[in-house]
Amino acid sequence: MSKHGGISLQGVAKIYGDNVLAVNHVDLEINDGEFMVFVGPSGCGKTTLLRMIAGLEEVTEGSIILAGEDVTRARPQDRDIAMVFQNYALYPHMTVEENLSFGLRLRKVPKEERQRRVLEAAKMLGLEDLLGRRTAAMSGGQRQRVAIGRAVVREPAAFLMDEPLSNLDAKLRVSMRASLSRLHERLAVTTVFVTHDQVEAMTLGQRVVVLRDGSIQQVDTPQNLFTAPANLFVASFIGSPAMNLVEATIDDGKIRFAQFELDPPASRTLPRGSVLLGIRPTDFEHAATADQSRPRIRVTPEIVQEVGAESHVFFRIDAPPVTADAIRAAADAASDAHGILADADRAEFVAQVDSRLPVAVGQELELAVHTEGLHFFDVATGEAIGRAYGEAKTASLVGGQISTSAD
Amino acid sequence: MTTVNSNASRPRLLAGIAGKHAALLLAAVILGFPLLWMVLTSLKSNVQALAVPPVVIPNPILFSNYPDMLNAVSFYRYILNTLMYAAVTIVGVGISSSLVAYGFSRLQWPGRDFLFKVMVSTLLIPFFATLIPLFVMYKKFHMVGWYLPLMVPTFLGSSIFSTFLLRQFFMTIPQSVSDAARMDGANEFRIYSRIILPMSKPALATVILFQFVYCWNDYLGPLVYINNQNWYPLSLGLDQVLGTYTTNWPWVMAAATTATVPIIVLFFFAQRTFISGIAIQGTGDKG
Repeated sequence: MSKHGGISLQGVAKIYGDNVLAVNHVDLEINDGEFMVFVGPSGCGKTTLLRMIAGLEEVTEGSIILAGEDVTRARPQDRDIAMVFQNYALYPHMTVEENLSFGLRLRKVPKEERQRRVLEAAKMLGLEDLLGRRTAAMSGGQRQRVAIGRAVVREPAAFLMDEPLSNLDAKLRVSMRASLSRLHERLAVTTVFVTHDQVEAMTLGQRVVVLRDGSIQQVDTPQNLFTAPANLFVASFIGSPAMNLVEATIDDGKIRFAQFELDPPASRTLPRGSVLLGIRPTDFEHAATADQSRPRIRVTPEIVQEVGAESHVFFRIDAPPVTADAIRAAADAASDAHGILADADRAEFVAQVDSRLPVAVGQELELAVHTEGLHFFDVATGEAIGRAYGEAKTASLVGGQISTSAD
Repeated sequence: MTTVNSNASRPRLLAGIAGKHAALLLAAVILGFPLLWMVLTSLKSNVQALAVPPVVIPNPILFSNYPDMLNAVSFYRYILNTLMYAAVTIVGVGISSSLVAYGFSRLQWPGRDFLFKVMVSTLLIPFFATLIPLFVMYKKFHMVGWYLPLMVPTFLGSSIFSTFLLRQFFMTIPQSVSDAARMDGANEFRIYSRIILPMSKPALATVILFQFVYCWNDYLGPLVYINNQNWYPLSLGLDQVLGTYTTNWPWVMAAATTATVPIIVLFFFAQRTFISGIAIQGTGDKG
């Protein structure tokens, strides 16, 4: 089924009426058969970019190349693309079979071929028994499968999916994620998937594009986004609970922040002076089980949330919270954004520790820090300084352009 | 505490319900009495109908007024004329209003919302203000004499009310449905005819219903434009019952009852459609 369906975006920009720049000159190469996810907070331009690829939104500047052909000005029906919408966008007056075959009939696909494709898609998605039913009387999960089936029967060069799982309940969303992964594995069709849910992005995408204010912040594998974020925004946006951030000083071979002092990892070369220090909650460990060589900090837990195998331990440090725009923008979409009882002088940190180990609110707790996982960002620009572990080969982004670095 | 409160509030609640029902009953009597009087008078003799003090219950009950009235006027012809008038204009309104409404709701074009407001504001112009200019215009087009001045405009989007109602309904259909059809390969006309119209059956049913009732009740339009008695619709035809010098009031009331009953029956059967039509007008995005 796979066709050569790579998508190339070259300087693609979208400017609305009053000079509102919704998408800022995006350059991106999506490989043939790749599962690419666009993720970012509300209003970051991810859906606009997807709609431009679909042809539903006019491109103000730049070009879109689909399967080697410039489709920038082509009508949606003339692009070999199928799309799945957030609210399913099914035709409620038609049966499942009619919904699936509508596009094929318009494209004058012969009847036998039409029936073959509809049956094949229905079988693949478990819709065989529902073919004669109207979609209005179906459950959310069934409707979503019909919407996906409608795209599958077209056998297009690329699938575009605009938050297709966001209307499903949490349990169904997880199973649909797995189904989508299997479907992609089977069809190997280029897929662009838009979501604001970072967990969805990380679990589905072979590569993930993180967008903010219409600009690409980083294009990378999910693992690299987590371990080597290109800037403060990506660092704050990816990961749940979010990365802990604090202003720190690097001096005399020590990292100093709040009341703490840590030795920098031996493998890292860091500049002297002020930096923004980022510590993932997973880079804390309960001292009871940690390697003796790891540096430790003593904290007083204020809240302990037990989440199955882990506990999220919230504590405050003697340093003000970092209030960069990038963090605020990322927090808009973060599910774990705290701050109802924010303290302007003392930042809230969260550590993720093994829930089997004893942690009590108000009682001092010793945490070991995995310093090789520390992140450092420029105070002025928010760009990452050096790289955390796992930095091997990552596609990093410089000024909206993608380049491959091997630092 | 809770018990005391509920005990105290129960009589108040009952009193409130009783008050509401009493008010509704009074309104129903006020509105229903003329209808009842019409039916009662249609069964009286002319002497009883004009008696002072008025006779409420007809004695004897003269059902014969109905066949007599129907024989006196070309009732069935008028019914056929009315149905023909309604059918043609329903087709006209259905096609033109839905197309105009589609343009005002599903397509983006400069000045769309402004022109929609202009169009809706023309509802404020009284029919009588345009009566003479329109008559002169149709006369010049040689259209006066038959139903053409009443039918042709409906094919040209003249029913602002229907356009407004359909536009409001179309606005409630998610844009993504049109986008999906577009991605499936449908052009704009196909999206309109194969997707949006079939999805708008409730609104179309309302438009058909309102148009039918409008035609059934339309008196002034046919009075102005139709000059051949054979082509009169029911509303105008029943006027023939009124004599120039003497009037048989039971016949007039029998005629009025005959003309009213179908609409009342229609309302009972299509009550939900009428109500949903009223509800539709309040939905959709603001233009």
